[in-house]
Amino acid sequence: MAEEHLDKGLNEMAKALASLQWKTSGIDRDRTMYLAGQASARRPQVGFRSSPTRFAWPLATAASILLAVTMGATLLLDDKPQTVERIVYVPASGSHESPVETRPGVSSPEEPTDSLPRSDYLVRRWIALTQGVDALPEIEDSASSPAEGVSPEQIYSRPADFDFNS
Amino acid sequence: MKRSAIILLSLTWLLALEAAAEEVPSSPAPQQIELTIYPETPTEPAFPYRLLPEQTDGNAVGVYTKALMILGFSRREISEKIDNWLKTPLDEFPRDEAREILTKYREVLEYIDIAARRSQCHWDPPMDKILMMYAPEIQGARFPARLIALRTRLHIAEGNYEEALASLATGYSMAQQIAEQPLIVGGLVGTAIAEIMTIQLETLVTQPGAPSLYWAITAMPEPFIELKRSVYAEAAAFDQVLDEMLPELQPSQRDQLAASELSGLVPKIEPALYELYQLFEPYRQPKLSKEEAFDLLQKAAPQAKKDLLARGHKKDEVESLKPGEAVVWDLFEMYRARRKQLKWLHVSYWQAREALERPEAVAARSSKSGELTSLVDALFPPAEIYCYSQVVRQQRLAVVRCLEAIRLHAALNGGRLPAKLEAIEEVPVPINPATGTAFPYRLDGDVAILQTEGLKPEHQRQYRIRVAD
Repeated sequence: MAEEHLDKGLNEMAKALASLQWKTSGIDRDRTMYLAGQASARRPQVGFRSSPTRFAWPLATAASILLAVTMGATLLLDDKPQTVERIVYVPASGSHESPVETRPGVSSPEEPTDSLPRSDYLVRRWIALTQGVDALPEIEDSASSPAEGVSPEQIYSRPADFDFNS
Repeated sequence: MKRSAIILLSLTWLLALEAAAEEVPSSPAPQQIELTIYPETPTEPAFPYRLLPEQTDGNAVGVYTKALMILGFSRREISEKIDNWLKTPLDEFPRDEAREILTKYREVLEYIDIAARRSQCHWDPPMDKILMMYAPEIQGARFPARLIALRTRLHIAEGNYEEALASLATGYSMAQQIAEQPLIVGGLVGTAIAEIMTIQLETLVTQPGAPSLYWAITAMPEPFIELKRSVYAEAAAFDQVLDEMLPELQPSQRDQLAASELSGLVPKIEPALYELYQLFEPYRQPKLSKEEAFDLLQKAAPQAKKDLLARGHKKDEVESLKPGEAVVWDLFEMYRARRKQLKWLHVSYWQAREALERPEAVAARSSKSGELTSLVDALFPPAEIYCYSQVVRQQRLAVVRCLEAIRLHAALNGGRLPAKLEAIEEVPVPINPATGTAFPYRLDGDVAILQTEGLKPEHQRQYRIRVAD
């Protein structure tokens, strides 16, 4: 019953599709191609010397290339230190038992037995002097290490010479 | 195709313009501050108001300690919130929220008010351990200072100027007392607290009906906080550390080390340098081994020799030095030069700056070697940093005093702004402590423009002052 009903529907659909007629687009392909070829071969209507626009695009392109080369050269020749190559520092964590890396050819770092007590006062002083006291970390809780919140960048990133004007 | 080319070219030029725009911040425009003033003459007697409180006998340290213990920790979020509110215009200032926070910390503020009114503040730190100290009381003082500034701003917003002045007096006194620590960080934190108060003072003097504070500001100590004392205290502590590390080094050698003495000293100095590295670099992971520390010094030798030549040493003498000797000599020369340059802390900033910027002064205290300079900077910062830290805050207070002189002149001259600062004859007009000259000032229609100069671009400000109708 259901199949008969389905077949009937399909047949009606097939009839409807069969009744459809191809419709032309209205675009003449051959003529379009002809006009395109004609347009591509057409020369400017104004003469060489009197055309102020003839060199606009080449000049703009040349200017852009020149600009790009200048910018690239500026980057390459910039003598301002962009990066400083240094030993990698990591902030002290709560645990001081992190494994210590040993570098090839260098003896294991030894803890000097006669060293002075470790202090972060000098670090804090340096941050306060060069970046202002607002750069000092807040005291977050009583158990935290004084070192917490101080990044190595804060300690070591600074101009070589203090400049009154910079 | 053409459209793509246009887009490409536009993008290229946009990038170029952006790159050009990025170059500009190297000299940013001064911060613009718009102010409206309400002419006001000082009431008689000249000192009805004070920006430092009357003090009674007693030591403030114990009271500050109690306040800091009650305060506890974990307050970063509140600090950020308060910092934002302190910058919020008064008509948008969240009074209820501010009141809520001040109520929460009421007890802390009460203790700070008491401490600020004590006549002594003997922190009494262990001077022999000064470079190894951790001073939480200094760092912890910044939060109560914010609370005091918040309370002051709330009083100003509510028109309670008497209370605002009392609150400012607490803040200024606290700034001085924190700076009583013979530690440079104490001096710097005290200076910063004073600046927080001065920013609120600047707001106060521009409010309708605010009393004239010209003489109250004039009566403030100048400079308000002396960094000299803590600088010398730390220098003495550093000498003590040197004495302990290098008992062989005679005081006369510290002042004048001859090339001939280097070879004998270097083997003793190298381990001491390693100790100094450790002192400054508690966070270096992995720890610097002695070999690595010595290696750094050896690598610094060529630059050390260049430094020595630049300072006028004989070429043959410098070239004959072993690497370690050159570095040690360079270090000692920098240290000595920095010690000598501390004398410039005793003169005005602009005079110190002129002397400290001379090429020979810069060459004497500097090295182009990052490692060496970092070490010497950390242990013995150059004098110009102290001078600058101090003058930035001095200038801010001088500007407020200048505003008060203008306000007073306007009150006595029918509400008119002076055509030039020299036209103010009623009271002395402060000079710019950064330049030693008058602040640049001009009248543009009904707006007076007062400019700060002589500081780094980020600290430059331009005040545009109008008289209220």
